[in-house]
Amino acid sequence: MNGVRGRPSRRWVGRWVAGLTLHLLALGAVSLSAVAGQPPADPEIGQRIYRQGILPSGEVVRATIQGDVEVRGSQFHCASCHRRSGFGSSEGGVYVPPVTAPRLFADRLLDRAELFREFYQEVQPPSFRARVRDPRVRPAYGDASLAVALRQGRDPTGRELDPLMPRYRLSDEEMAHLVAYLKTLGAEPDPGVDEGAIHFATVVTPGVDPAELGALRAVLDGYLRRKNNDTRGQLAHPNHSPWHRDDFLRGYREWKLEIWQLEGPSDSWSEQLDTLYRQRPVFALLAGLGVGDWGEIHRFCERRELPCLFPNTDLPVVTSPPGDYSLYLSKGLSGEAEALAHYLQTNRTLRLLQVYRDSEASSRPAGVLRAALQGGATELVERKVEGELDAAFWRDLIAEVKPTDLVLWLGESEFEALSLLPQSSAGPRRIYLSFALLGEVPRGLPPELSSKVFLTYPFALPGREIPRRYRVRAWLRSRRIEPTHPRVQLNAYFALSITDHALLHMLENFSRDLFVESVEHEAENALNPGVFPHLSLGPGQRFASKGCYIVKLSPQSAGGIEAVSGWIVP
Amino acid sequence: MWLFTRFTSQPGRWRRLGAPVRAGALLLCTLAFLAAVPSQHQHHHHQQQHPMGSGEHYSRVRTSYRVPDVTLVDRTGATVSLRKLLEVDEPVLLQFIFTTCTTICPAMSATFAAARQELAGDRVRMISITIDPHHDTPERLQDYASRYGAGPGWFFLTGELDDIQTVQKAFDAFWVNKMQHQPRTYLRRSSGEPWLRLSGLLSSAQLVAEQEHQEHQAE
Repeated sequence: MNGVRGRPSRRWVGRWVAGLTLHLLALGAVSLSAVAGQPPADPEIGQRIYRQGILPSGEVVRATIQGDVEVRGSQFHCASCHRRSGFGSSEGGVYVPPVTAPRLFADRLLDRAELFREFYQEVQPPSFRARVRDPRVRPAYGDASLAVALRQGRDPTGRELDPLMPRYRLSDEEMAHLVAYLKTLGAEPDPGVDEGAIHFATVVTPGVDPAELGALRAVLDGYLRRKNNDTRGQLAHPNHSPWHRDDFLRGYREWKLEIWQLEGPSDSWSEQLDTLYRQRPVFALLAGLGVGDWGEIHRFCERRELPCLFPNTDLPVVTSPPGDYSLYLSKGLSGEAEALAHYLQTNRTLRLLQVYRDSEASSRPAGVLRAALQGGATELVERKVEGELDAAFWRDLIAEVKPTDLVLWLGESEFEALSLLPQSSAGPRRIYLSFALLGEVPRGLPPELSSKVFLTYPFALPGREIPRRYRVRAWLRSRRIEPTHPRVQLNAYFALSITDHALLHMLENFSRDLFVESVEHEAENALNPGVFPHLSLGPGQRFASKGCYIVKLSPQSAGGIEAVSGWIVP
Repeated sequence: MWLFTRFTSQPGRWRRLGAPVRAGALLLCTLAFLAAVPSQHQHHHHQQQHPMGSGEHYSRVRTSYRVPDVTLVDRTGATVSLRKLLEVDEPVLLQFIFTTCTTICPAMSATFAAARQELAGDRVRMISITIDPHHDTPERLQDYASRYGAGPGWFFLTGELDDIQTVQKAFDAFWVNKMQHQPRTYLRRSSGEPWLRLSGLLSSAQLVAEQEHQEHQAE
C-alpha cells in the first residue's frame, strides 16, 4: 500500500523537476544560439569524439568519474561503455543504457523485452537485477538536456546518472558536434534485413575441395532448415509460444543464406563481392572457406562495414589494430609461427634453419617467425626455395648451414623430401613443421626421422574432448550429416549457433555493430564445439582461439601426437 | 505527506471536512510538499548518486583468503610467485581486471591511479591481475599500465589460464564469463592479516580513506 500511495507524489516531484528542466532547456537554447556564429555541427567530428574521445583540436576529452577520479578520453570515451553501436552494455555488474538516436530523442518507456539479456540470460549481482527492474522513464532528450547529462550527469527528470558516467568537459562547439553525431547513431537499421527475412552469405574462394564445400553446405542447410521450421512454428502461434517468447516475435526473421562462390585471381574478388552485394545485400557473412590469403574479403567487409564471422582460413588478416568487422577463429599460420617463436625462445640457444616457399601460406609464417625471433638468442638462417627439393639439395644445405634445428613451412608434397634427409647424428636435432600446412599428422616416416619431428598444433588435442562436441556431433548424426570434414563442419556450426544467440538478444535492433558486440559477448559462453580448446572474445578482440600446442609424433597416443608444450599463448 | 495521503485515500472523510478546512489543508499540504521537495531532492541525490551495484555504494567484508602457490607473469615478462609477492609487511591493494573490459576495469584502474597519487608518501603495493590471460599478454598489460601511468610498485599479472582461475577462486572472484565479473578491491594491511574486500566502484577519496582507516587501526 505504501508504494501505491507514494507513487502520485513521486510523479509530482518528477513534474516539478521536469518543469525546472524546461526552464534550463530554454536557457540552454539561448546559450547554444549564442554560438550560432560558429561553423555548423559536424557529425563526423562528433563521431571521433564518440568513438575515440578525440576533440576537434586533436586533444583528448577530459572527464571526472566516481566523483573525484580524473580520466582522459583515451580511457573513457562514449564508445568504451555505450559501444560503437550505441546500444550500451551490461559488463561488470553495471547496466549501461542505450544511447542510439531513437532511444535518446524519444521518451523512455518501459519494455521488458528490451532487457531480455539483462533479465534472463546473465548471471548478475542482485544490485544489477534491481537496477534493470527500476522503472526509469524519462522524457526525450533535447540538445540542451543532453548537454546537461554529458556535463553534469543529470537526466531530463533531474535524476543523477551513475557516478561511473563520466562528467565530460566539453565546449559548446564540441558538444554540438557530439550531439549532431548522436542524432545519426543507430537511426537507420542496417541493410540485409527486411520484413520477413534476414539475409546472410557464405564466401567460398576458388581452389576449395568440392567435398569440403559439400560437407560445409550440409551443415549450413541443415541448420537453416531447423532454424526456419522453429521460427515458423513460433510465428504461427502468437500468444501461445512458451514463456517469454511472445515478447520477441517481432525480432524473428526467416534466415536466408547464399553461397558466394568467387572465381579467378584474388585481385578480382573485391569487384565480384561488390556485384554480389549489390544484387543481394546481406546482414553478415557467416562461416566461409578460403584457400590462400583472406585479405581481399577482409578488406571488402571492413569497407562495407559488414560483419564476417569465423571463416575457415589459414591466412586471416593479422594487423594491429585488427579490423572492426572481421572475426576469426584464430590467427591461423601467423599464430602458429608466433607460438613456435615463443617455444623456441625459452631456455635454448639455437642455430635455426628456416625453409619456405614463395607462396603466401609459406612465406607469411616464415616472416612472422623471423620478426618474432629478432633480437633473441636464436641464430636464424633462411632459405627461400622453389622447384623440387631432392635429397642432394637437403644434404648440401645441411652440410653448409649446420643447423641445430629446422623449421620447414612446407606442405604435404614435401614429405618425400623430408624422409630423404640425411639421418646422421650430425644432422639437425629437431624438425618443426606446421600441422595446418601438412593437413594431417605424418605417418609412416622412418623411426629415426619421426622421433625428430615436431608440429605446431593449433587445435584441441585428440582425446581431450570438450563436452559440447558430443552434442554437436549428435546433432549432425540426427540430420544424417556425415562428419567427413569435422573441423570445417564444427566451425560452421559455431558460426551459426553464435549468430542465433546474438540475434535473439538483439530483438529487432538490426544493427551490425550490435551484432558484433553480441557475438563478442556470446563467444565467452559455452558454445565451443571442440575444434579449439578454448574460444573466447571480448570487446574489440578478433581472434577467438589464441594459442597453439607444440606436439611430437607419438604413434601409440590418440591421434598419433603428444603435446610437448602447454597451450602457448604468444 | 502522511496527512495528505491519509485523507485522499478516504474520500468520504475528506468531504465531511467542509470547504474552508479543505482549502486550508490543501494549502498546508502544498506548503509541506514544497518544503519537502528540497529535502527529498537531497535524499534522492544521496541515494541516486550511488545507485546499486556501482558508484559510491559499496560493501565491505573482512575475511581471510588462502593465497594459492602459483607462479604468474608480470608485465615485463618475468615470472613472479604470487605468495612471495604478497609476503610483505607493507599494505597491499589488489584488483582483478582485463585490458579489453569496457566499463568497470578502466574505472577501477583509474581509481587505483588516482589513489596512488594520494598515497604517494606511503609504501603500498598495488596488484592488478588479469582474468583474461589468453588475451592479456605481458605486452598488452604493459600498454594498459602505461595508460594509467603505473610506476614501480604497481604490478600487473597474467599467467596460465588454470593458475589465474585458481587465484580467482581463492579470492572468491571467479566468473565463467569474464564480462560478468564484478568490481572488487582487496585491501590487506600486512602479510598474515585478513583481507578487507570492497565490492562496488569507489571514488579515489573512498579508497584512500579505506586504506588510511585500515592503517590507523594498526596503531
